[in-house]
Amino acid sequence: MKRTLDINIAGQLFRIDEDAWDVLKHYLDHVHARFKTEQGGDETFQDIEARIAEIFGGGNEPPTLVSKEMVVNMINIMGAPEDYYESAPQAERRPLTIRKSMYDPNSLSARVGRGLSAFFRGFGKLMSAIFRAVAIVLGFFFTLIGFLLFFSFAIVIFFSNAPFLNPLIEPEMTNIHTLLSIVLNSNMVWPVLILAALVTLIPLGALTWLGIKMIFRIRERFRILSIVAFVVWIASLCALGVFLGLQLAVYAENKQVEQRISLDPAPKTIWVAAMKKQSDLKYDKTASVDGFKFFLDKQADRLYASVDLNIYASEDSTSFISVERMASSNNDMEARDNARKVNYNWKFSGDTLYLDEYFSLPAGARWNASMVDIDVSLPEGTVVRLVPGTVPEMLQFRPWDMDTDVWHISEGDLVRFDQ
Amino acid sequence: MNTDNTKAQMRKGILEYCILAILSRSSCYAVDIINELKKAEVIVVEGTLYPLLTRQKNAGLLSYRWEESPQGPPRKYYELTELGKIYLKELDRAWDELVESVNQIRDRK
Repeated sequence: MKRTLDINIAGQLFRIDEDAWDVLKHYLDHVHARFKTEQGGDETFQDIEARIAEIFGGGNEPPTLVSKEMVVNMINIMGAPEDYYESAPQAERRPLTIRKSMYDPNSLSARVGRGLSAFFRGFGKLMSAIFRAVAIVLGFFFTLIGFLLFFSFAIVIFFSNAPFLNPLIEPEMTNIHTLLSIVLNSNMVWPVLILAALVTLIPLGALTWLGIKMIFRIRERFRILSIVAFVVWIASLCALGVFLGLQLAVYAENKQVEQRISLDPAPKTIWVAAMKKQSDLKYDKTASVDGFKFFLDKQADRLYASVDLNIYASEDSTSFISVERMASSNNDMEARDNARKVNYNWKFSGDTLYLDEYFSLPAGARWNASMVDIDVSLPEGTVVRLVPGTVPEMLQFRPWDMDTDVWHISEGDLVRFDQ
Repeated sequence: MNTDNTKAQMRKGILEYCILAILSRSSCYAVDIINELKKAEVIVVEGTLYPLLTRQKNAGLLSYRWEESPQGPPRKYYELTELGKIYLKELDRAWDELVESVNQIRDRK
């Protein structure tokens, strides 16, 4: 069986029979020797190499197999090494003298060299094959795992509201569909979800296809499909931008309505008690973002949401309780009206702060970035206690130490109080 | 006496002139020049051309640009520079004079 070698001529890959390579190498060595001392000789030699590559039919995939006959035919076209001297200027001309080679192919060193060369060439090919196989296996494995993870994630995020997934998903889990139906106009949820899916899936699909092409050396180009996908992606991106822009315009202006009472003198211990609890709410759907929870009662067409309690040290030894109801709209007046419509009950009686765990909006009203923010500013030394049954997380009350229900203001911070 | 060697020497003498003459019509890829020279039996093997093109390019008579090839790497397309055009006009004149001189000598009785 004939051995073949992979060689590079003028940047193009060829596979060549070993006997053909011996002739070609000898030829190229002589031609190179002819030009190496001449001004511009390298460029001439490169041009000659490019022409030889062209004669051999370079640029094919898989690479052209060059036989000895093809090399001889090339020499007939290009001319023997001596012919190159005919074009030399008079001063450069010299007779072709092929010096006797110092290289004896039958010497021990030559045979050892050939053996080593063959060994390392074989070793290189083996390693190359192993690395390629490992790369393909790993690439395939990670692509498969990536696809599974991505589609599982996409299904959970985009279709968590679907009946077939309900038994599999925790009811308290963030539900994008419900969240969007609260934040956006409910009619726009599915169009926005579909557009968002197209905007994310098309580039991911294209990247995955590129990876598969690179791993498996696939050369097919689906130009029409690519153009269609690109146009769909651009159109989806624009439509999504317009929809979201129009929908989110209602959040342009934000206003607060504040109720504030001064605690003078501040009680040494202040108790926090929950009145209406989230656990007593009746709702159809829920969604949450970073602890902020929504509860949607479809039957009554009412929306409930959690409040935010902050207790901190007073900066100037005054103490107060501030309850801010906030809402947005596309103008100041409407935003203030929306804030007033936020229904929230609280009171301070004796030394106890009574708070609902949630606020509500009037029936039929949509969420307009509506929130309730409760700030309690206390002087140094004040102790804060939770009435038994009050869960701090339900009020989004998150001091540093959560494994206790007694804190106090110490050195400007609300910290655990060890009695 | 063998006339082949004399003919070959005569052809070699006019090879550079012929290359410039071909390029004066339009820019050409090396193989186009070779085909024309082969057709006119001015050269027999292609290898002779490449060193001449490099030498003429280095002398400022030619320049080249790269053009995409339908298969394989980009190709060099050679064209005459302004200096090359002036040089070619001088060679045209010299050639006419040479032919006339040779004819005069040859036809003199």
